[in-house]
Amino acid sequence: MSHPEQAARFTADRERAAWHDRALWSVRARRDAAARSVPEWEALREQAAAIKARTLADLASHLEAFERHAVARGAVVHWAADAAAHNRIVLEILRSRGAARVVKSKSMLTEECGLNHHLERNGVEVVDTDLGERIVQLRGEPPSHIVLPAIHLRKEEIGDLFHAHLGTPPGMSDPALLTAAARRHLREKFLAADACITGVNFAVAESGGLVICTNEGNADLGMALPRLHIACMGIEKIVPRAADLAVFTRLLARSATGQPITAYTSHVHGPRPGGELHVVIVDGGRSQMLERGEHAAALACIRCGACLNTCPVYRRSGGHSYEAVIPGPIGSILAPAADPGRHRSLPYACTMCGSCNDVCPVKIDLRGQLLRLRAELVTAGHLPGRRRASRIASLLLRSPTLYALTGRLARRVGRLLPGLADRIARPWTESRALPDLPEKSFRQQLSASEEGRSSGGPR
Amino acid sequence: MTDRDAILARLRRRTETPVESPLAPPAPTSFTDPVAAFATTLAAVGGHCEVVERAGLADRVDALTAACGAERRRIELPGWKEGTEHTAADLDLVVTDGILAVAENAAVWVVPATDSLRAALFLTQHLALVVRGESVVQTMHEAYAAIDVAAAGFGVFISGPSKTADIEQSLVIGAHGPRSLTVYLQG
Repeated sequence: MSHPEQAARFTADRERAAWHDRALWSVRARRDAAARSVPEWEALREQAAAIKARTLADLASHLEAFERHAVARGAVVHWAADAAAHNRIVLEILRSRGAARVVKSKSMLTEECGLNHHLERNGVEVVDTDLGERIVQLRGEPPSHIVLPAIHLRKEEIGDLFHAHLGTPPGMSDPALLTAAARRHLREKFLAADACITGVNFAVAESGGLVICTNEGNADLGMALPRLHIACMGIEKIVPRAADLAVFTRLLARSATGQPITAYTSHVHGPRPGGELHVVIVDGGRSQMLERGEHAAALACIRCGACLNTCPVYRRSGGHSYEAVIPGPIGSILAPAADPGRHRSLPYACTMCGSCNDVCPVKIDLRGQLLRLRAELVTAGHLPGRRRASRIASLLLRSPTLYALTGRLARRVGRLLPGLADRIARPWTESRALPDLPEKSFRQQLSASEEGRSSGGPR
Repeated sequence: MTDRDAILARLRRRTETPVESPLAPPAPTSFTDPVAAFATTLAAVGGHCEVVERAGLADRVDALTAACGAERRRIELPGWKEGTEHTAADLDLVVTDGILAVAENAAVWVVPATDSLRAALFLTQHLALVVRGESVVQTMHEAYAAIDVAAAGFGVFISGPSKTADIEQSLVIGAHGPRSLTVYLQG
């Protein structure tokens, strides 16, 4: 289904859509307050953009350096060309160590690869430990936001969910009590786990280290208890130096939720004593994106979610309307860049307002990329209707005669058969009325007044 | 060709001349009173800061222990070790030292000396960190310049207690990790 079709379902519940809109906007507002509190905010953004550009310009060297140092610290580094390879590698590691119970902290990459389904199909229990992710996991649905996975749910719905799955009292919907119930439930899972899987926020090339940021401490509990740690990362997560982390740790949480930093920013170098650390580096189309070049800048994304929070379309349609692993402005670039046919409606889920550009901590020109994608999709033939409409419009605009004729016809139909005109102009007229159409065009009125003047009126 | 070779080959085809980027922004934030800024920010993120004299620390820790209703506590400070026999999962309070503190975001850099303490940091119900007052730096730039993140296998910036806002954006303190964080800045 296209984005508009999915979004229509979401907006049908007007009260809920308005609530969702307000909730996301309040996160944007908190980001603004945090940004204002840092006088050098814009300079930081410039610097982050420069570091990412520098890294992406020579990603191969940085990845090799990362691998060298990580291996020297005792990690095992694996490379996966695509999702299937990634899933195969992770399952193999777990199987060979007899690990059947896994705790997982947030990783959009593992969502992208469909890791949970793959592991569950193969007899491994995977528990998502981030509270929002656990909620959507229990509901059997994908996250609707990359930082706030359950933002589309009301507390009563979560209360019902926990009553069904965790045995909380019926009707309990207080967030603090629900969180306490989840704390008890997930603590048992941490203590019983055989392995933990985490994502990677930043991978440091010069030292082979991994940086993992959470507010809940769930990644740290996972890493500190079971002895087997598998960290999954996309190739673009590399930063060259530890010093670069200062820039990103100052920007990430402020952009995401308005906090000065996440509660926990963990730095891991090598496995724990008596433990194992496996790093799975995933390409999944990223190197092809870099090679093609037009959308390479989108790989600078640090997955903060700020563009989602500000986007008027995301706020009013919700993450599930995008049918992509990552929704919102950045997702509307990444998904069609990878699979244009399937995601051809996403670059049009956009008002071109450019608000996303304003909030992106690494200054990706999201708006420019979305516009370029539209042209690419039409040129490549994915949107034949639009191409036809463009060609017709081009024909009309190049011929004054045709233009005038079409205008005359449109005005006549619009005045005599308003119902028909309305239907032709759908879906624009679903929530708007067509203006009253004049009898004469501007040209007709102008030539009539010139005739009037030349036949003896005042000069 | 292995996946590794294929990926690197594709990436090398597009290698461009790398551009140098500066380490710190032109005018980094500078608080006139970093200790006060740290304390204010820590309170804003749900933590609690106290400035204590070296001699008074034991009393403050005892008071905290009572306030938390802690039955099992573990102390790992230079010159004061206690409670290391407790199972990490049973701990009510852990007190250990941090290496430095960051004024702009109330983060404390902690490098647990043992694997067991690492687990205790996150399993305990309540956490307290002791940092020397002169080890408060302004921003993350100074912090990363002062520490070597790669020196130990694990180090963590801790800013406030564990928290989540995943349920209708309502902030709840104490998600999976400690439900409270107290930082003692030692004079």
